[in-house]
Amino acid sequence: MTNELQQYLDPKVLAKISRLDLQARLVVEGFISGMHRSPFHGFSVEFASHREYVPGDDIKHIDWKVHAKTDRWVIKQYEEETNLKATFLLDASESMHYGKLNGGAGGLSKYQYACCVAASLAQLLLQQQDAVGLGVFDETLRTYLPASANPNHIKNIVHAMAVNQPREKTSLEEICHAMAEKISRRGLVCIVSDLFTDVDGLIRGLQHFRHYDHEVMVLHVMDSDELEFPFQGNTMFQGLEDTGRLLVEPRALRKGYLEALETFLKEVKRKCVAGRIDYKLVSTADHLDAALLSFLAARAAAARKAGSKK
Amino acid sequence: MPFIHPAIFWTGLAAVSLPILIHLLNRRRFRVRQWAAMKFLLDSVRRNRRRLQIEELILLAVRCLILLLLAASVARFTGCAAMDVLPVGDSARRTVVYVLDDSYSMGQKYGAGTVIAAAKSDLARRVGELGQADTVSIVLTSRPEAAKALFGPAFITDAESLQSRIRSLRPSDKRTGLLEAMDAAGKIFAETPGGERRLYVLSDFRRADLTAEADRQALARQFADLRAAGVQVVTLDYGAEDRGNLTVESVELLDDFAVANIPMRIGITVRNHGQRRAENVEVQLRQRVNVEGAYTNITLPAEVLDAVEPGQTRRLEAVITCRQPGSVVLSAELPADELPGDNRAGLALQVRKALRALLVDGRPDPARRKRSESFFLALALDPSGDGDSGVRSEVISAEQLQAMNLYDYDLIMLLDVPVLEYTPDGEDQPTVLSGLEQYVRDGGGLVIFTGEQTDLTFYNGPLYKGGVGLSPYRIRAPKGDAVRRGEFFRLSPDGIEAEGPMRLFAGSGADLTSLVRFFAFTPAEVGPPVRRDPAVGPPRVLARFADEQQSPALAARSFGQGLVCMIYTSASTRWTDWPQDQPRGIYTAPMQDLVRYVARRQKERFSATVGEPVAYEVSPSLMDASAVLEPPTFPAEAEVNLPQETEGARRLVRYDRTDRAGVYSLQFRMPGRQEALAQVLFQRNPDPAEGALAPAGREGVEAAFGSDDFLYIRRAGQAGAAAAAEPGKEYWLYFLGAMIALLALETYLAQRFGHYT
Repeated sequence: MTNELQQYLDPKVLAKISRLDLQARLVVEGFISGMHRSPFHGFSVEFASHREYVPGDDIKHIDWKVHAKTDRWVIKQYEEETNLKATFLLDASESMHYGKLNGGAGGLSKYQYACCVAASLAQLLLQQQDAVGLGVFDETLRTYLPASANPNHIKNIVHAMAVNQPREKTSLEEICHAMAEKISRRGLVCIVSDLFTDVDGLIRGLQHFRHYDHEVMVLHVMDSDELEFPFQGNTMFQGLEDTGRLLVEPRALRKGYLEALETFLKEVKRKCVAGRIDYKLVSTADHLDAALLSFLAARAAAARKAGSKK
Repeated sequence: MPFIHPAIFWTGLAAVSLPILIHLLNRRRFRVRQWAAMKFLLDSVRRNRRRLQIEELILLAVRCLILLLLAASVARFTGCAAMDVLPVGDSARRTVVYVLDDSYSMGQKYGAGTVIAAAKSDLARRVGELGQADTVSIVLTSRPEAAKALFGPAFITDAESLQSRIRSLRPSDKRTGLLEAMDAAGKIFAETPGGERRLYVLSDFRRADLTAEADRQALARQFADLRAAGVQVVTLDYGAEDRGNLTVESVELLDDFAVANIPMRIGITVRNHGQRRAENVEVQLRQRVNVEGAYTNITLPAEVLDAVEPGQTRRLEAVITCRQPGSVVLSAELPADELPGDNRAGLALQVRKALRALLVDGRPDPARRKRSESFFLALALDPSGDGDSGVRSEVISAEQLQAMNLYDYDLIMLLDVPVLEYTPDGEDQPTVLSGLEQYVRDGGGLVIFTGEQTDLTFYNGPLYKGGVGLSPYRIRAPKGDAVRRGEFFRLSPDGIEAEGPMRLFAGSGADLTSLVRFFAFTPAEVGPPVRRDPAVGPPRVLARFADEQQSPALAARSFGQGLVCMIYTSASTRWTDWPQDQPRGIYTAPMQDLVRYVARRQKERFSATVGEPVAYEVSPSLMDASAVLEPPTFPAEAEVNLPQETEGARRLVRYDRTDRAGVYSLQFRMPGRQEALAQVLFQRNPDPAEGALAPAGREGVEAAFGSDDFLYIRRAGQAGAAAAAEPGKEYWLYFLGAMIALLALETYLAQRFGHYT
């Protein structure tokens, strides 16, 4: 049972399932089945307050410091217990279409992969009674679903992902600025994109979220082809999002391409880290648990930081 | 073209365009891929555009060069002038000797050209392909001495000029001197040690040239020496099958003399070297004579040989009369066939105005000339007194004989001379008799008429000399009565030798013997001699009297190189009515025949084979004149002044460069004068053996060399054909190595440039 569920973490297997909601559920179940305990147990984003211990509470949440000081038995309360508000911003520009068109290595296009990840994380969060919102964008914000903790909200989320197909160009900075003003309560903003945009503009946009104390996370989705550039033979590369076209012998350019890509990735990561933005690069060939784990690890790190402040 | 297979190279050169075509075609064949991360691709292209272009060009150039090197190595590049600038080292320098057979058989027609034309074309082409570091020599078989080589040994600095000289060569008129030429080549190789050495022999390799046993052994030794010295031998055989070649083998004088106004018999021998019978062979005769101070050619009526069988000769006899004395050339010419060089030959003759006879009258009678012993004879021999009959006679007395230079005369006739000055046996002093004997030994002719004054003691003693003297037989006292003339003798018809001077009376002329009466004669004793001398021939009776003993009427013997005839009666009418010449001719004809039978043979040789020098003894009257020789090709070739050389008491002029067939005209001119005082013609004929055109073929050449350790290339008169595979100064191995290195480089570069993974 456990192995059967975990197979759905494989994008190749997941690609065979057409329904996104089903994909999301299977990913979550597969993910959870592989964990010894709920990933959200004990994970919190931020310590909120204490309350008196009552019999039946998990003793691991007892604040032993308070007990040592006051000889009182109190339990720590966390914000997630009080509704984490997560908003996923999903890049639906034309560049995210890559993968499916070309039979990408992962079997899923970047957009599909991003949708799977976002949907799976949304499923997880909603299961924990957290609120999840969604923004689908390209040059403009095509769809916005405000955060909701309603378990049925996953259907809305999944539907919004499904009806939006990648097209148009990307305009991440403007979207970020717009969304920063739109999201009212402080929460988690997770950008799921290939980030084929101006890096500095992106950072400025993400800093706008940070300005409003949002937790920002970037899931940088790239196709394995984009990461490895394994092509051979004369190829006419037709750029998506009107980026031109080029007839080259890929092998001759591979090294330069990878260098340019590596420079870009390092720059993005450096600037994200400098801006206290969580950054995770995922490949469409990777199992989805990697993306989920990175998200959860980021959440755990944030929770530890919040606990230490208090 | 410095390739053994130039066609392959040109094909390969065309194939060099393949990588370029593939490169261009590939640009039209590509897959299309939608791509999102264009930014990084464009960035990579922008930063590496120039490098990519250079890498692409480098790979394209390397691939094209690989194909080119492959083509050059397969086509077997043999080098060019550019290669010579490379420090290729001693082992790459070559000493190349070309032996070109320019004998006249190489003038054989083949197709539209000649065999030598094909050889020259090949030689000129090869010369143009040699490197500047090659030491080259070109030796002609007509002048094999190394010092007379057409070229070298030297480096070729002006190939065009040398090629022009080669193309202008004509076949010589000489026989193949292959052995001498290869010997010269061997000397050249010995003087230029080191490096690769190669001998090319361009010849028609006729079977006749290679089958003489002595020549074969010498050739085999020469070849072995060359191989031992590390010389590679390449033979290019241009010998083409002959389709029928006729040769004028000889033109010769069949008679003993060439005298003006006297018909002379000329024999022309024609040989058929071909495989088929030659029919109706027309032989054109010409006579080159001096007409009013200038030589001109007179065409005589042609003669026809009905047939000449293959491999056989036929002799044609022609009777020619030269009207003027002097130097003439009689030539015979055949119709043009595949080898023109041997279709013509000539005979140079010094036609004498007349034979010169010295009549020594033993009983001169100036008052009553008819009573002289010499009267009737002189009249018979020289009726007009100016030699128009072909004989010019001079009469002297016996006493005057001692002062005469006998060698100015072609024969001496002693007419009833009783005795000649002589010395007893054992004494070696010049006397008239000894001088006469020497004269006859040297080829002079002597006729002795007996008579009333014949001294038997002298004639049977010093003159007979035991059987080895001038007199053929001992003689006895005269028989018959010349005064009363009661009894007479006739010539015996059965005793006449049909080919002798008395042939008038032989055969159908036997009846004429009844018209001549001999009232007296001196009987000769026919018997074995007491002594023998190998230089003295046995006596022969050429005519007999019709007496009981059949006594000799005319006897002859050879004495050294000359001939002695003795007539045992008087030259005058004292003992016979024969000199009365009734009917006319009955005396004149035999006497004329006698003169021709006995007189000194025409020994001067003015005709010879090409290559034999011209040598001429200058007479005292011409010693102050300049000798000038016009070669056969005059005026194309300039005349040559010849110095007079002294050889003992003689003065000679000599000319050695008789390489051309034809007439060499030797003229004597007084200083400052153009007209010739005297002119002598010499004829040089090609060696008729060279007309045997049957090629020896590979087997023949191997047999001649005694080995098959050489490269044989059959050219068979073809020029311009692709060269057979021959070892040349080849660079294919270097090219192959370079190609392999380039392949490795291409692989490395392609991987480095990212074209291969």
